[in-house]
Amino acid sequence: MFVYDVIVIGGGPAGLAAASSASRCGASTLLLEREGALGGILKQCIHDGFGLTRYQEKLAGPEYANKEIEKLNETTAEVSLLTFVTKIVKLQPGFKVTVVNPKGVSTYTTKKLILATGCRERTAKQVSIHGTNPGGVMTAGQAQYYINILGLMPIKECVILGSGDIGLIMARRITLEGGHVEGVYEAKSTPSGLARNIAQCLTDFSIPLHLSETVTKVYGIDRLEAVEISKVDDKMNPIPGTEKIVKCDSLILSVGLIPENELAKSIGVPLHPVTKGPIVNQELMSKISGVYTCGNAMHVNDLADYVSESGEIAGVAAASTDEIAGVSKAVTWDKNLAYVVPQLVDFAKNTKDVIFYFRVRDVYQNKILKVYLGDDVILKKPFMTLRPPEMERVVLSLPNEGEIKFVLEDIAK
Amino acid sequence: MTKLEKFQERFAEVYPSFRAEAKDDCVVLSGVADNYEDLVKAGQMAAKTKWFYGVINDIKLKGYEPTPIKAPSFSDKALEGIHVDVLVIGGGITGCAILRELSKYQLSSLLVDKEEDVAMAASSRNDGCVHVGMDLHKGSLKLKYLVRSRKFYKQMCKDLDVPYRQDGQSIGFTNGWLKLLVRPALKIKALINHVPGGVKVLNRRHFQTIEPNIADDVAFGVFLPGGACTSPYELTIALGESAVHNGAKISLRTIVESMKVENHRVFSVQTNRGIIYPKVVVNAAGAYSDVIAEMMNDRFFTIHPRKGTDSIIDKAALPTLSRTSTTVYPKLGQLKKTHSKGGAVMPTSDLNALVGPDALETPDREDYTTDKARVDAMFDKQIHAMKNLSERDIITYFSGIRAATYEEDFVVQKGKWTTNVIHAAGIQSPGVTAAPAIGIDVAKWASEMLNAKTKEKWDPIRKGIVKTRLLSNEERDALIKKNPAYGHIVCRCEEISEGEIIDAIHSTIPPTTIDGIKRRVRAGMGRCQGGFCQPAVLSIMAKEEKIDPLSIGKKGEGKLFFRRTKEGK
Repeated sequence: MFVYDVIVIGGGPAGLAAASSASRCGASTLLLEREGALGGILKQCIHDGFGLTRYQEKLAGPEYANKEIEKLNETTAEVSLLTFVTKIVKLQPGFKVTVVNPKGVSTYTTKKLILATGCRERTAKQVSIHGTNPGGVMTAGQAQYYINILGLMPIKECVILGSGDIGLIMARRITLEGGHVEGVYEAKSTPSGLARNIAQCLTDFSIPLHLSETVTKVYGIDRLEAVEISKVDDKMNPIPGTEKIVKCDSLILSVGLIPENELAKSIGVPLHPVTKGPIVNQELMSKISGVYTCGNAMHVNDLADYVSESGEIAGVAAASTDEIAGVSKAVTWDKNLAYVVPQLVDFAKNTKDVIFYFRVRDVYQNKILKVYLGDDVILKKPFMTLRPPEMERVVLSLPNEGEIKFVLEDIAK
Repeated sequence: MTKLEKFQERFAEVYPSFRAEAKDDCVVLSGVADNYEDLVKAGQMAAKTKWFYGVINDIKLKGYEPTPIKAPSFSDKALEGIHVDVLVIGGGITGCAILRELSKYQLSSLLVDKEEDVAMAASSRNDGCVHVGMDLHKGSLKLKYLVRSRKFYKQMCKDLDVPYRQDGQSIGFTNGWLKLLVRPALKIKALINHVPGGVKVLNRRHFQTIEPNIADDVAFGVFLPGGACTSPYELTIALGESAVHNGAKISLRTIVESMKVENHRVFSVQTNRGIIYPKVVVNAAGAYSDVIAEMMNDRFFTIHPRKGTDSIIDKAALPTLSRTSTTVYPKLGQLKKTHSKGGAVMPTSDLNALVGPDALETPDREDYTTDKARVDAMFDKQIHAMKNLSERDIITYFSGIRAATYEEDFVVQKGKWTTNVIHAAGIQSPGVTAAPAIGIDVAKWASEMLNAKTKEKWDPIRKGIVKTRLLSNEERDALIKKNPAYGHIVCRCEEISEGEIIDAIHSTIPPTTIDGIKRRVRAGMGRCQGGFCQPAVLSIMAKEEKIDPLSIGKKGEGKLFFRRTKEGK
């Protein structure tokens, strides 16, 4: 006998949706969250733009989170806050989860596990920033926490490295808060963030975006005093002789997010080398039976709405008592695509209206996406523009078993 | 022609623009060097004679403006006019080990350091290796103090509640035929050097049971079971805390600016916090120890700073890397004589992997910068030891400065000209290993100078901060039931609780910065490098110390914040 049918780890948008949908499907559900409040990173995202797809309205992060929390509160799912998972042991079947919280150490058994552990930001050292090691070098999310949650301003004059969405959002936030953003520098030749964020956060505030330029060195002992910026070649290697020094007291990094899958790894869940999240089937179950994932732990999303969507899929699937695992077919894609999620389709499970998320490797114009099921083309979808920062989503019904392949072709063909 | 004249002649041939003159039995080099390499090599040439008492290298580097010493920006009168029996200058592992030994005597002892914490220079910028002394010269002070320290090191770490892991040390060899030479040579060397645990020469198959991930072309290996590691900053802090617990005093953010020396005695020491009147002064000033010796009118050695860079690898990658401190002996022909063992891949006491250090002569005593090319080079080299090594697994890197003398040995002795000083200077590798035994000698000499007896009561035990992640579920549960703060995990990467951070804030040498907390409990040392926990640590500090978060900084005198955000309406 298990204490719970489903334990969800992580109370951000993915975990909230997973827990409430699992509970609605009749599963006894426990949601574990290590912080003191639910909502995850949404709590510090006071800008709007959330919920356009899911609620057809523009919400701020905390508003969106509150809607999800309200939905969860309507269910019988239990929530344990300030609760940190220290160990997961695989049972045959099920799992034993050991947690620590201010009440003590507890262990729970559960039939199914949903890992909604989110992602973390890549740090300065992970993008090989050298020179001194001063204060004032921080990730965009950290700056966001300080300004929006603690109400403390860590910046007067800053350089932002990386054009990821959080960096763009923070460029605007810092400016509104009275700080000065000297510029946003991006080593790649195209921006990493959503086009709408470039327009609304940089262009509208006259903040320059420098492509193919990166920070190569930092100066300052106790606090940052300046950064060295170099142009980079098409392999993103700095070009000697192009260095310039920019004085600043802060360097804000928005150089990528990494799905947080330490718990997944601890129980041997195979991860995909590109997404850095578990390899999953259409029910978002990993290759370890009974372990599901969703949201940014599965792959880095750019919209919270799709994070919630994936949470719901995982929640519903985990709540189902259907234990039959059929033969999974691998989904493949051509070299124009960076990845497709799910990477597997289990034809013993529901194959109607399967949601696929994908990203392209480069910027493409006038392409057509073809999805093959065996030799049949089951989807043809034209795209004017495809960009790596923008995740795409297609819904497919797979009437018969077969190999699934995503191919991107020129529209002219 | 005297020995000196002969040397001067040879020296003038090699370095016509430099001068070498005698001062007592030391040699003083002067002139202006076009490049730093010449400056260092001139000093090394003088040291090579071995019969000078010491090398004073005053050669200047052309166009080089020495970086000013990093000093506290303030001054006050906190120490004005105080009299102490022993003043220790420098709060690294050597100074703290000396202070702890001094606390065994009926003496008043004060340690001063210019930084905001102890262990701020080489003692935290360090791999924590507890060496076996295989490569040291017979008769050197390095070997003498290493051998003495190793006899009680493990017990000392236990008394001080700091980590000590004896995983061993390994050297791989690619030239199989070398085994015939290596085995007898190392066996003898291990005997001569009193290598703890001895030495084993293993064929590839046996070596692989010790190092399963060793590079494929390694033919055989040397295993030194006595190789160990500790946390160098935890140990330094623990030594300092133990000393304070036993009555010694520590004053941080206190820089020695000058000394008054009269009749071959240091009479007074001017600091930014007032003039101190000590009876005995101990020089444990690391990379600045020759500067302090100069102030003491007792300089007979020169520090030429040697930078080393270490990289720290994500804990998750350790199982694919080394189990012991491992390196590969360079292929014949690549052999170059250096003053560093050339780095290794090793598990740290907290079970990250550490790669490094390298060695680079630098004129700047506090040049802690890192350089991508040097990290790349270290990985290119160590991939020949550990085949799975990847720069992608790096979570951080840092540089430290070794306080090397031209003699390449420690300077542990009473003053040469000034009678009430003791030097524990030029301490570089294996300083972390040797420091505890150095402390014993220095404290003994100081007590003899002052006719001081040992205390009747002295407590060797120092209790560290509990590491809740290492407790059993039952112990952890019981602890949390007593204090729920131990159940609130603040640092997710290293599993550090709020209770541990609160303990650090109220510890014997209280940290004043975010990094100070990090060195005590590891919050922020994991893969996110404090991205998630720094705000929480900051909030706990502000609350516990009842201070404004605006006054808190990451390190040194830098502050994290400029102001509060605009108020909403």
